[in-house]
Amino acid sequence: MALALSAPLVTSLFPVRMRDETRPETIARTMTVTSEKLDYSKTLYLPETEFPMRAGLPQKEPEMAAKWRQMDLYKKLRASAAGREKFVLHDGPPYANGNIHIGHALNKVLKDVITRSFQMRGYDANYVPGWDCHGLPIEWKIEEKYREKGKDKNEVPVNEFRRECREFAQGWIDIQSEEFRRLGIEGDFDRPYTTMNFHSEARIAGELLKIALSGQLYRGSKPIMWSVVERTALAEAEVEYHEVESDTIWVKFPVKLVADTTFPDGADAAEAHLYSLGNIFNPPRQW
Amino acid sequence: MVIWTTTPWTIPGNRAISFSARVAYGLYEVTASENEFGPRSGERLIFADKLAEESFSKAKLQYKRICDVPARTLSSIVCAHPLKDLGYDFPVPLLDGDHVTDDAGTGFVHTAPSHGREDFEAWTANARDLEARGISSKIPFPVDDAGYYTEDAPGFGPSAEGGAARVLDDNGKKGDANKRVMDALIAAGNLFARGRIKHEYPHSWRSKKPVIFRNTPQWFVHMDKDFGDGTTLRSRALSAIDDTRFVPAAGQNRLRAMIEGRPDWVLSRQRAWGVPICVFADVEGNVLKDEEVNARILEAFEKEGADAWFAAGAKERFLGNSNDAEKWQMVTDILDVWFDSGSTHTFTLEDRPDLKWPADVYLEGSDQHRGWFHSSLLESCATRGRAPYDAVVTHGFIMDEKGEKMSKSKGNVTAPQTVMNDAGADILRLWVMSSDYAEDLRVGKTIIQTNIDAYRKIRNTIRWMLGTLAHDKGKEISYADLPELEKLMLHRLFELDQLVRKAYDEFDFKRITRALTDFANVELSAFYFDIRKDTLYCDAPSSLKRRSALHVIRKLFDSLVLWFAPMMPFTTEEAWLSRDPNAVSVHLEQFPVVPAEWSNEALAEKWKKVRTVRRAVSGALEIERKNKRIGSSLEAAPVVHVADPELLKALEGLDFAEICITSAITILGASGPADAFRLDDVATVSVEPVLAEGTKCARSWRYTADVGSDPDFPDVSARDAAALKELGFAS
Repeated sequence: MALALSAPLVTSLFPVRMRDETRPETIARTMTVTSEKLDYSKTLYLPETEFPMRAGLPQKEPEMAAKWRQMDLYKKLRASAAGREKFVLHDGPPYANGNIHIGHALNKVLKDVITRSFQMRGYDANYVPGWDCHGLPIEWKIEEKYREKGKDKNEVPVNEFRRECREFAQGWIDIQSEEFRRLGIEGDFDRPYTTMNFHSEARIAGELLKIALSGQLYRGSKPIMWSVVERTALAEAEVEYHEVESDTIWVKFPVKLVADTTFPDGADAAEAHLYSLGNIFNPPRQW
Repeated sequence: MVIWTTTPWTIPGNRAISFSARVAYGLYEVTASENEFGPRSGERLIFADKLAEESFSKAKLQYKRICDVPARTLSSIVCAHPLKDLGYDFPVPLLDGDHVTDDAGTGFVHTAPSHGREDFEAWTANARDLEARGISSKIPFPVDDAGYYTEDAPGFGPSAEGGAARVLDDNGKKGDANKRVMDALIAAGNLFARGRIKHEYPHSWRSKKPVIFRNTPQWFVHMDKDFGDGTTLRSRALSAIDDTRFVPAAGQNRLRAMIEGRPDWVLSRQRAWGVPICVFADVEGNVLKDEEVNARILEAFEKEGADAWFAAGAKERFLGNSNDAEKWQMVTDILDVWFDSGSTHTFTLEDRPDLKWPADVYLEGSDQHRGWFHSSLLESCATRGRAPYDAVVTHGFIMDEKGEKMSKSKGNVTAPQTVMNDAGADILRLWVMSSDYAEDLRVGKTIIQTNIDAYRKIRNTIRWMLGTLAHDKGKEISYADLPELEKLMLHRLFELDQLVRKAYDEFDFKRITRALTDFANVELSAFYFDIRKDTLYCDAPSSLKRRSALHVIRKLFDSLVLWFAPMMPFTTEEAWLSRDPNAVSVHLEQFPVVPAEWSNEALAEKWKKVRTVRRAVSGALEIERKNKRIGSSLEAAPVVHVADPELLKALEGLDFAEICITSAITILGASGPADAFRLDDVATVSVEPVLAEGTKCARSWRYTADVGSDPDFPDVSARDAAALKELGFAS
């Protein structure tokens, strides 16, 4: 059947008017009897909102993050949840070295969503971010700086070297902290934990001493990479490979004993032969 | 038995030979020889079959194969050391090792635990078995820090003729160690063959000089020493793993296997930037156990940091007067950083009153089974007897869009800063939330764009609700008074509430984003909102249906925004404050409370049927629209034939024209004409798309018979005329 009618599509559109445009209620007050024909579209309850279609997140998000910080949303969250059952996701500390990469973002977003989802379900879900500060990569960065200045690490007092490492780590904590907040991560960024904080260092040392007192700490040995020239241990990452020519040898180890002389049922002929060779080479000798 | 090595100087450190059960070995006999040293005719030797030919040719020997040598036989063999007569009078066992292949050498690997990482691991992994067989598992120190042999290398150490041989000198040049070892092997008749080889060898990054592997004293934690209560660190850690929830579950076996197989924990590092191993030790390696000394150390660290250990006068300060300063020496190694992070639970969870011990969750990448989950478990089990967590959640790693690793050189890196600056943090977060994070994730421009599109749909749904709720007076309508369609939406909210809460409990975010976006797109935008637009835009303020719709949209808005708030904190905050400018923050809210009375299974079942018939009507009208026979569905008044009595019954009492967004509808209870429209999967429903009769209302664009019934508004329907009057309009 052929239908001849045509009319504008209306049902699939969401006509949205801005809030400052006239609303039916306002029309009702201002317009009384008029000879002009009524514009019916202005008599409808069409959606009105200032919430824009275009999100503009790159501009809006930093403003919002700044606002949360200014109003101390973190503290308000704690106050609003005071006395509720605690839910704690303990932050595994990223290393305080370099800008965050996509893996950090994934990790922190997951942690943030979990924490927030418990906070909004009746828990006091407090997230305390942390940083791992000690270790080789930061030592290298400081040593690198020394090399650029022609300075020898071994001539710098150890605690001066440690102070530079500490400052370097703190610099990256500040940067990463800003990057995490830009991602919308909510937590105690004003009072994070760090492994280099004095209290942390004391607690880590205390844990070691506890283990020592329980008799579980011992001195053993292990092969490590060693530079004879520098008289120092090296980490794998401090080593590079060069081609050299070396002596190579094939060495005989005389077989002294085959402990398992009872050969099993079903041993095949060759195996039986092996055992029958008088334990292969020489008469067995007990150690 | 023959081994091959490129470091002859490590032979004095040899303690075992490694073989592999996956390699085929044979017994061979020498039939003719050329060299002055080495095997003679009639001598029998074992080789990996694949390498026998090459090895015999190196030694210029003729040979024949005698028989197979199975792995079981190999593992029961014990050899003599090739320099036995110089004082290496100990058994050399054969060890089955995964690192052995038959790609090069002889198929037997010289194992010197003092001089190689794999050697050390193979040796320590077998230490317990060896001790049980009466073989000492002690690892010698054959080379000192200057590269000289020690007395642990008899025949080459300081007391040997000619003094100690040296591996490397102060300039990194080769010493006489290799030559002296090879001469000794020839003298002992145990050099099979010799040669020169070009190969890659490790050098110091700084001095560019060759380095060596040498055994050094290190500090360890026992895995298998009884704490005195019948437990060991290993047994405690294994039982703690049983008590922990793993998401995904496979992590449990992974961590268990690592704990089962690991050797003792090496805690010491010869570095500067870390927490010191702040103990005093005597020559034998005994540790000073003095509570007062320990208290002094910890008090100083608390005030001055661990630098106190390295400060001048630290030894006297901490050791005090009651201990022999001659006997006790300070250890100057620092702790493995994994011990630091393994201890974070103490100074956060335990020490902060705003946290608690143990944590509910530890969440990291799946590589942390070897890292933080592992070290935290060991540290906590050693000091507190259990894990510092109740649950371990892991995520995968991020690849590019083709599933390849990201690297700067490939130019396939997605930086979070770029995504945030170009699209927004909420887009990045939505990508995480819609991914299966337990596996490896992919990201790139196309994937980000997909998430931008999904975000826009959600945003527009929220925007339409906000616009509609601008006219909401906030009046609650009692459940009983609501139309069925509104009750249906509340039922869906009841179902979603259960799904969302359960999925948040299970950290299954993908399930939530999928359920909520499907709901917003399919059930709200394309169904509920579409149907209710006429009522919401055109009905009089007093209309119960309109007020009911506003009541339900209010619930829908609150629920969706609150459920999305953990995932998209920026957008939901913007929406929440747009709805109520006096609110403080959406993040201070709780998830909505969904009353049990909203659950209405019978209604949901009935509306499944209603929507089946509606689908047929929409299908028929879509064809009319495509062929430009109608513009809007309001121009149609279809005739619907419903042959299935169950479906027909479901439509009873409903304004089905409103549900189908047509101006009128006729429902007939029998099979329709053969040429009527039918959906393939709903054969019992057929639709004839009849054109609507009546006049088009100038306000609502519906076609009704009552247009002009109110002389004040001659071009609108009766409903619209009444609405205009109630709103105070005059014609």
